[in-house]
Amino acid sequence: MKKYFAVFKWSFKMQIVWRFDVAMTMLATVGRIVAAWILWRAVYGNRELVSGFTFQGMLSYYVVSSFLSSLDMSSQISEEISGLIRDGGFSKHMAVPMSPFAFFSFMVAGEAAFHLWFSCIAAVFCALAFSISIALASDAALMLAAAIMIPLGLLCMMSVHYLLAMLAFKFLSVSSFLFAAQSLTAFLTGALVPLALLPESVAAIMRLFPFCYVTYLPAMLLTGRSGGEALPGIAVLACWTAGLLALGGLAYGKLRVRYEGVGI
Amino acid sequence: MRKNLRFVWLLIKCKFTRMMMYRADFFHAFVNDGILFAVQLLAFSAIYSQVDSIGDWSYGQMIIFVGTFSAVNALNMLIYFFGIVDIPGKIKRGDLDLYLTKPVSPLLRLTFESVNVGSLPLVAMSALIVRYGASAANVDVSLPLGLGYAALVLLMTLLWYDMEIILRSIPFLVITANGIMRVEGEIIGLNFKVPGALYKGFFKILFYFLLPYGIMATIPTQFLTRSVSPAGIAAAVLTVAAFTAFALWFWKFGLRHYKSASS
Repeated sequence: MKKYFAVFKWSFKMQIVWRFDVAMTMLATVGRIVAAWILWRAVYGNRELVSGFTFQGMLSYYVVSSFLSSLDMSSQISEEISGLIRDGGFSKHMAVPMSPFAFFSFMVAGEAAFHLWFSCIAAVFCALAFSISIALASDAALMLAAAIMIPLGLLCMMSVHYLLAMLAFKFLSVSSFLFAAQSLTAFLTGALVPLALLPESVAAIMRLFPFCYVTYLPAMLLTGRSGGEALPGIAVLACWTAGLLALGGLAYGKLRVRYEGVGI
Repeated sequence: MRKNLRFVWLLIKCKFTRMMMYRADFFHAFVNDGILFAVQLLAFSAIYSQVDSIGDWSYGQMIIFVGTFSAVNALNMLIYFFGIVDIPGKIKRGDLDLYLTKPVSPLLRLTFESVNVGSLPLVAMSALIVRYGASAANVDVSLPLGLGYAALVLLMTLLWYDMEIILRSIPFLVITANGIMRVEGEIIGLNFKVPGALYKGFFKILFYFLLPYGIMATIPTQFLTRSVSPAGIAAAVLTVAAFTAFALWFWKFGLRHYKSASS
């Protein structure tokens, strides 16, 4: 475990070099909140409630969900691993005594830990600039459920992207898969619109999949809503994460033999 | 002019030959962008399932907006995007030397050397989205209205081109521009989610006149739904003319500062 914490620390420190990336993550968080503020201000107009949300409640959701989305850097796992497989640079990860999944997960976790504070600053800045009074949950049980769900959700997304990266052993160029996955997960995680706006039948189906527990439900719990969904959500998310981790390990074991090691 | 057209046709034929070697990549742009726009349609549909209008915009208008954004983006991908996207890289590596030594305009060659026919289905899909939006908004599309709309879409495609040239000419002066490209992506993303008509105050000035991404899909949509004044259209045309003139001047200004990293 010590070697993986070394990866975490190395990745955390590396972010100091990539200051512009940090600024861009902050800008992306601000951009999402600004877009939500402009759009939902027009949606509410003279309305008091939309799907049970007040205007302030809706903006609180976007501030929290934008913050959570900015922590999900799992797409880097699929981008980086698939690039390394295509260019032949993955060889070193096959040779060193570290699990590739654990290495890249700790690398991304280190990056997210560094970005956490800056995303937090961006969210607080937007809340102040647009006079958004974020109504955080006062119930300790909801906060605890969210605190369990957030890291579990991030781990689940890492395993999804690891599995996608494994496709590079078979197809080499998987950029299309990755782009499509990013577009779809932005919607399925509730980063674009709260999933409470969807018809109940669609929402019921989405509750069977892990994506709505990555951003949507933790954001709802943190803003004091949907407490009843917390325990089933954690159970579904844990099952999916365990399944995807096992599938990722299996895919790596089966597909690594196809690696050609271009350039060795 | 005729010589340039013959040259453009030759570039397109060369690109076709190259694309045939990588047939699997043919429709990547269509699939990727198709999913992106489908997701945006889903997001707006979810909002409209709760309300009947966003500002003054009905569901039909919003569908036309998404379809129009998709159309401008598809034309961008079809004609010039893949040719000019790597201008910063070519400047950095000194690859622009190859373009400057040929007896044709380097910008003309960059613009048309990577025409991507795989984006054609996206143009067709965008047209279908706009058609559906027009029917949802109860707009009777007459021939003059349709032609006017198509002309505005082409004009906005030119504006998008201008913005891409301006932003990609900055590396002539500063060499690296990764940050500028990421900022461009974020701004386009924001304007894809928010129709320009919803902007007020500072954001209106910013996205209508300084970084005019806000008008690209909004003005054609407003024209099709007859909700823009002649003055609004004239202002949009003048904006495009001004940005085109500036883009061409800035490109030439940048070229004068090209340092040719490889020599």
